[in-house]
Amino acid sequence: MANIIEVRDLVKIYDKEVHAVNGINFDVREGEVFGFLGPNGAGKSTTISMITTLLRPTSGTITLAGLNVVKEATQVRKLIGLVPQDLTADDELSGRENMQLQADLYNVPRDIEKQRIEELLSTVKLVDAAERKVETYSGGMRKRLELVEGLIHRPKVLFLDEPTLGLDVQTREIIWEYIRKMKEESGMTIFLTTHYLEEADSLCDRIAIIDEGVIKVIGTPAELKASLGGDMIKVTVNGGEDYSSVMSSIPNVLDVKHDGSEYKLKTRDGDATMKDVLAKVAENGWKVSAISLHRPSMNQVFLEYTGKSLKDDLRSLSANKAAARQTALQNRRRR
Amino acid sequence: MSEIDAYLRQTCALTSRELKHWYRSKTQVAMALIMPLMWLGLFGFAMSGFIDTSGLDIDYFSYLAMGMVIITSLSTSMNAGMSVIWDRRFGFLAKLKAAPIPRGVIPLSKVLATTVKAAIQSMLILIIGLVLGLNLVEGFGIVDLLVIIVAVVAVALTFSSIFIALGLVIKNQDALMSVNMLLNLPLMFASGAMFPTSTFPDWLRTVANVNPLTYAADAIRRASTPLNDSMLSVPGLSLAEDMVLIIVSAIVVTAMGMFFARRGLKD
Repeated sequence: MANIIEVRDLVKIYDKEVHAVNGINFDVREGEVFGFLGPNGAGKSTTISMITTLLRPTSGTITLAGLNVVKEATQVRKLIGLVPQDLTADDELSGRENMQLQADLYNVPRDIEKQRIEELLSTVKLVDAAERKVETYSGGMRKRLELVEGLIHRPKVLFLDEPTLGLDVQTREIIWEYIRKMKEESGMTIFLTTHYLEEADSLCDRIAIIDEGVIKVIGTPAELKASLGGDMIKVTVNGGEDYSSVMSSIPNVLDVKHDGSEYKLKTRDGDATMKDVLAKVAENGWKVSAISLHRPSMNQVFLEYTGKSLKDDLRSLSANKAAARQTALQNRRRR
Repeated sequence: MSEIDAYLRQTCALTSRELKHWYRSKTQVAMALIMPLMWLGLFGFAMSGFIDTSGLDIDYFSYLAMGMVIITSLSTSMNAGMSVIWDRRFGFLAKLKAAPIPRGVIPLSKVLATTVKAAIQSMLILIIGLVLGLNLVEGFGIVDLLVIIVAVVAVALTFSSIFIALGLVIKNQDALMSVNMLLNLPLMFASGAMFPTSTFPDWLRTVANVNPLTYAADAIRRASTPLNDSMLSVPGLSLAEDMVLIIVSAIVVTAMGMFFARRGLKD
């Protein structure tokens, strides 16, 4: 697959002090859902702003569909859609008027604009509310409107900045459904940022974990989890014997630990090993009182690569940021 | 050619967005009219006894009412800066910046919308003034009305460009509000809009003479009220000279405003 976005040695420094993005490199492939995962303040929004031409990089290059994002900004803007983190639809206008405004701004051909607006509004089930002012919409309705506003010109790449931030669980599921559908139907590339681990896991083909302005790891969710050493099976076998050597002989099993009657099998492939363990149980007539499969979660992946849990990370990062801002202020005063 | 069509379409769309905000908000229109009406009530009627009008060929109410037509254009334009700040705060500006729009279209559409608002609101004040007893010169005709409209439009272009550029450069609502407060009174009083500048001390008259509002006020009075030349702010100028001055300053200031506005849109 060809790369649609190529980011090379990208750096953004604010106020000569705050290194928001610290020399990152990555590629996004055409047609994939690429997730940018990281805590608040990790540099996600700064990066998305630079790729979408809103912010000039301090140094480094970004290429989108072969275009230089800084030098050919206007061309790039025609190819991308941005669904920002904030709700930016115009409160005073109706849903349909907002869509019409977007169609005018992106110069959607006059003869197809009406039909496209209807299609998009009906995709997100906003036809009935289309004539109402956006100020009467719920949070979920607004987010759905934002989503289709970004699609009015059929962009090649859609940027979703925290698409489900602050939404309830049902609405989040609905938004995910739309994102999957859009990907399947249009083959469009989707670049999304999130700090919800399960969102990245369930939507993305590939994920980059970014922290403190540096990319820690890039890979498919499965690769990232596998990099933690794969799955684990816990099985409790009643009976006096030690079955460790039998378990070790099962294919894919990397390591067996046992504590009394409980065995912990580390394996490359949880599903296959589960089947093999059950076969051994049947073969030898073991009395099994419990068996379970454990896969590494994105949470563990996150812990592994950022060295801290998401919650702690948020706190310490905002503290770091505040400290950095303080230093910047003091330096400015000194100058 | 299609590029230009696209720019026109974008400009129209953004201008009409601004105008929808305006005519759908009854309070916004009402507030814009109440301020000049309060001035007319307070100064035109209640306090007109304190003002020496012996040199004027007309009653002070008529004199002030024409001034208020121009002041309405000024204050409508000054408020335009705030709408830029709100667009930035609500992320709307970022959305515009991500779209394939030439940067100049963003401030330009605000200037155009403000000018339309200012023209309509000023005309409403003129109509209210007439209802309340504003005396127009005999033989007032369509050309005189056009002069008034052009003057109002020139003032709106000039000052909305300045305040929209300020809104984009300053970025902070409190700071912009202070700037508005700071500039509002001098712009209003150091002009010929409220009082004849012949009553001003020399230094204040010097300030008034560089204020485009002075010439706009003179132009609309020359067109509309029976006023002798010496009582105008800048005696000796012809109506045509007044008009050329305000149109030229509108063009120059709008161009400068657009330049600074585009800079304010970077990062």
